[in-house]
Amino acid sequence: MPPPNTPEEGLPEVDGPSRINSPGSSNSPNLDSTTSTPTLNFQALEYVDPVDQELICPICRDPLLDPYTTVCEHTFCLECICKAHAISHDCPTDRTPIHFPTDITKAAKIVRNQLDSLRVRCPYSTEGCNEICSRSQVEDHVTKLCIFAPVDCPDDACTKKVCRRDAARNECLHFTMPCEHCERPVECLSMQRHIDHDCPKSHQPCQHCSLKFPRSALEDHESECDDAMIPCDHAGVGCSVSVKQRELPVHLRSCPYTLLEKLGSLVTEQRDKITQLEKRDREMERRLKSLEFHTMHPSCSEYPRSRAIASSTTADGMGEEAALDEALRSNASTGGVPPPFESMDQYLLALYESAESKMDNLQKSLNDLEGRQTVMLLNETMPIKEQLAEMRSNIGAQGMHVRWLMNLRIQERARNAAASAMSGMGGGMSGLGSDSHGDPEDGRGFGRRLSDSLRENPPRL
Amino acid sequence: MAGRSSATAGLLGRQLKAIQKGNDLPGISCGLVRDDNMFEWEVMLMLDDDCKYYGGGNFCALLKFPDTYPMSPPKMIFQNPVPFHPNIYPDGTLCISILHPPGDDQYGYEAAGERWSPVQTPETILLSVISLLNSPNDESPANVEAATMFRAEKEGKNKDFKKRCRKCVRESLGED
Repeated sequence: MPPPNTPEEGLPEVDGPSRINSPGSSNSPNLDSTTSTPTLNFQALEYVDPVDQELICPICRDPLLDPYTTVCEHTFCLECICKAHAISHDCPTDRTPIHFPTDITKAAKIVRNQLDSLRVRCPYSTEGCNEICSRSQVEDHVTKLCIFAPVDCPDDACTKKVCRRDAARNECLHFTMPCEHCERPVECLSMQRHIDHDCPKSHQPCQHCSLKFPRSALEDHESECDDAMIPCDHAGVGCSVSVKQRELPVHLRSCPYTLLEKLGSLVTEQRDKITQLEKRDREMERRLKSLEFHTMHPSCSEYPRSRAIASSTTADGMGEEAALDEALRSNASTGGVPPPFESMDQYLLALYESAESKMDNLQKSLNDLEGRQTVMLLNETMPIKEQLAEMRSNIGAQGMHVRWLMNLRIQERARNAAASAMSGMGGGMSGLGSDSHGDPEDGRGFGRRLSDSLRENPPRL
Repeated sequence: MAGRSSATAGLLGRQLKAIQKGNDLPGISCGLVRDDNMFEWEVMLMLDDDCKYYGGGNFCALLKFPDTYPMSPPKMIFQNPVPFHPNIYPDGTLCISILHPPGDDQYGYEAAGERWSPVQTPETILLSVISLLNSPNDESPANVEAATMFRAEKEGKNKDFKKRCRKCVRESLGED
């Protein structure tokens, strides 16, 4: 059977070794304390600055507390290593066997000093203590100084706790009495807190007019308090005055921004319009500029126009840039002033003209190109056609040759067959064959003679 | 969670935050099962395609920490669909040596050096789990059927083990 997973067993009590070995065991948390001084849970301390990883206990992952170093030079909190040792007698990090108490020693002084100087917040910061001190001093602070730390009630008969500030009154405040406002029973100790923060009927001063109101009504009052400072109604159009609510009508009568307020809507409307127009203007300007550059030459004079056209036709891709350069140069030569146009219409006309002439030119060059292409095509296809015809005739001739040879062959075979048949009957018929093909007796010589005769008399095609 | 060690809860909270913030564990996301209980984590394992048998699968597991953590190891329990794996019981409990306490030596085949030590963290556990999914250990099978099939496949007899694993992966993706 495979092993079951992790039986949940209770941990052995580890207080024993810890107490034997630890000179600082007074540091260990003592939760059920009944002593008169508040105790300190070091593990719950809040560190103000980030702590170096080297100072963190590998077991509890907190800054080392009462650090001890093993023979294999690993450092742990005393409490952690004791607990771990109770379960396994090996170093938790590298599993070197460790024997208590000989194999662990107090960590080096430098490590302790570093740990002691870590800055921590007072554990009673939630109660109101803002103290931040080094870790070595925090215990002193809590046990002797912190006025928010809980201590035993001054009354020996009472077992409750009271914060050090209240303990100074030297009387037990752990009795309940009705709240003077809401008449609910409240413990005397927390009466002030109740009145200041919770009691719905306790009177609180308004932060504007210093009149007092029950807590439940305070918020309503503050929102409409005559003494509350409020901004002028015309803050939207620039009035930076804020006055008490009661004085607002007086201010409004004299506020110079009243007039502006009336104009306000008009102003904002105009502002919107202006921004819109500005936007459009910028766009138009951009377009105008680009158009100007493109049409500089044709609109200036006759000579540059033709040149621009020439340049645009000779190099299609480069044409635009060349024209632009040309325009810039001519601009420079005429003192950087673009040629004047008397009216918008004229300008547009010039644009139109130049575009038209460009179109014409393009048309012409296209026609040209087409003609040239056609001629070239014709020139190239003519010889190909001729070659094709020649090849066709050649193939025809070859075909005739082959057919002629085949016929010859067939005839030859037929004659041979006939000859062999005749030789069986008598030599009478053999004379007929020998008329056209020479000597019929020599079979080997027959083929050679055939080819010879072919060479001498090529077959007619 | 009154009565439970607040130090342990604090430690777990910090470790959870570290895992959620850090990017050391690609494909793993951790969260709490219930926000008021630090001792039960829900872990999502999204295995990448390098994993021969379970690549592409999305497996969900619970990590249950004891009050005595980090002195005692947590338990890891896979949720349905439980991966078909030689070291995972059919009920989902994971059997891996680093989650066995060192004192627990009743089986005698695990060296003490492989077992739980308080310096282990959820991060190291999850890394070990990923490596176990990559290369199952048929020495101490929790799922005997899976171990037999895994061995057969290792010897080249058949591909049944891989087929079963792929089926699990498809189930984990909600495809089957």
